[in-house]
Amino acid sequence: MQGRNRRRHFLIDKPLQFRYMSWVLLVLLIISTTLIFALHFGIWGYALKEFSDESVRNALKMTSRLNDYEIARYQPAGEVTLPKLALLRETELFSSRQREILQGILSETQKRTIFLGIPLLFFIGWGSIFISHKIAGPLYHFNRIFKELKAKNLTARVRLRKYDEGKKIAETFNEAVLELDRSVAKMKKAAREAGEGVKLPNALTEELSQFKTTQN
Amino acid sequence: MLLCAFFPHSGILFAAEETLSDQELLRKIQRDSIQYFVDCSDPGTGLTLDSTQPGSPSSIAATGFSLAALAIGQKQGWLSYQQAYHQILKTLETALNGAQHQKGFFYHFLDPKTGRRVWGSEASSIDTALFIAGALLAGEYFKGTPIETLSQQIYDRVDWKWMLNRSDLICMGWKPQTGFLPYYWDSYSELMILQALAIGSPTHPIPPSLWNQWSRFEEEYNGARIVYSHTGSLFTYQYAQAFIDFRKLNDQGINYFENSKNASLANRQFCIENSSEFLTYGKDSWGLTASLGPGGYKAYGALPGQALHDGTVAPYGSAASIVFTPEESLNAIRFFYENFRDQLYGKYGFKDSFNLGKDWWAQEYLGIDQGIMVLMIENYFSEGVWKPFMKIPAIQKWIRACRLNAVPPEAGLSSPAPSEPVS
Repeated sequence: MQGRNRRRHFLIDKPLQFRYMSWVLLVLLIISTTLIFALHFGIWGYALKEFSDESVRNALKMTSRLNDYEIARYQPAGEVTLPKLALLRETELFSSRQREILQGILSETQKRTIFLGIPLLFFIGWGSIFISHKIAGPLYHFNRIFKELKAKNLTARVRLRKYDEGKKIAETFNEAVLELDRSVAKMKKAAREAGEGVKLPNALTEELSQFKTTQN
Repeated sequence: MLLCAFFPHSGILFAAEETLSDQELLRKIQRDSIQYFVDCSDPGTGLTLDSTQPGSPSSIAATGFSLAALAIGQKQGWLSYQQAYHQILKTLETALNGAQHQKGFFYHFLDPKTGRRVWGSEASSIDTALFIAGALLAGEYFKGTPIETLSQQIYDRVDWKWMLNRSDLICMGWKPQTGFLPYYWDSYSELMILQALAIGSPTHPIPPSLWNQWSRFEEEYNGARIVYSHTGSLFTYQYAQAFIDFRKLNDQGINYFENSKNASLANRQFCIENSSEFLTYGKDSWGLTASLGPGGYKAYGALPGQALHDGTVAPYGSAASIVFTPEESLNAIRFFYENFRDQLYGKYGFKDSFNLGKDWWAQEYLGIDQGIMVLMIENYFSEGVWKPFMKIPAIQKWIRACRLNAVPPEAGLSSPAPSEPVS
């Protein structure tokens, strides 16, 4: 019976899932926008400024020229030089000045990445705690209430924050516990009242007495 | 007198402001090209720039051509003895004491101010050979002076055997980080000047038997069998013969002068055959050789060979074949000069190349391309490079060692026979 338990509906709680999708997209958008601005104005702006320098432009032209010289002289018959390889060869032919410039750009890139990366990491960390808390908080509360129920305390209720996820489940759960609470309370009351005329087994009386209910 | 006419091939309007005789035109080209080596050589070191592209390093091959060109310029009276002598001497002093080298092999590209290796270039065998050839020629022009002594010292220092890398072929180069390049001079090309100097070396000669180790691939084109170079570029048929007079040399039945003549005619024929497709090509517009082009520097060439071409013609290609094909080359030179002077001719003679179909015109001059024109035009007029170069003992040694001086009776001997000889 393969596939019997396969999940067929992925959108089981559309409002919840769409809300989370919006959150994730928003966080990604903020990160991407920050990166794009940082890359464009920071790194590429710096690179373009450096490469707009006439001497650097000339050096780049010479790099290309010398690469052409090498290909013209050394390329054996039938051998095709792929653009990718040509690029690597050009890199090999960079002058010391070009290497200095590229090294400068790389260093600047690394510095900016670190300066940008640290607050970004902090922001992403805080964001992930904030978002996960909206689920982890209710789970924690449910776990606590389950323990209370295990201890036969039927007065415990799940109380979530305003924007926590699972409020609807908590309401349904609280209603169920309330019903149980009332039911047990009624049984306790009935046991007390019946006890005056009817002899109830001690075990039942003892068991009921262990339940903590809102109405005794 | 101002003559205006329509050039029927391209529809370009031109103006012939002055009518120069063939001799005047050739001498003008030669003189203007020599000026490149005066203006584009570092005054402190004498090293010559690879090209007029700003930021260009110096090229050791261009510097070799510079030594030859300065000597010719002095002979023609365009440069004073003092000017030529001092620039040549300074260059040789730099080469001997300041220029970075490995076992006498100079790096392909050097810093013009310091002579240090730049651009990660290789210690180049062929570029060193071209430099040595230019230096030895200058030594012949300035015989009995320190120029002759220094040239010989630089030549003697080169360890040609080392560049064999324990093989039977000369390696193309060596780099400090990676050692010998994986490329060898293994077939007909400009390698003959390298082989001649290596075999003729008085200090580190390679065995003469290695002359026979490189391949001589032959193919028929334009009705002639041609020993061809891989690229089919004209310069490969010209460089060695700018210095060495091959007219009376016979190599296993091959006369390389005749071969270069046939290759030049083949290059022209190839252009004619492709003229319907490429606007630049024509009977007087030919010269497929390594040059700048719309897509960068390429080893353009014709059949036989790889024949990479895109409609780009280098005037230096046809001009430097003037000793092989005087009439065809002169027609081409005149065609380029009279029709495209404004775009193609400047203070250092012909700019490197052009492509009419792509409306592309090189704005640069390349040292080696200006140099080959200067030397070949001098040979055309007076055999002014051949005569002194062939007297060099190392060249005579190479000829004897490789038994190249027996001319078979059937081989026709051509002579440049200038139309207007210069006294």
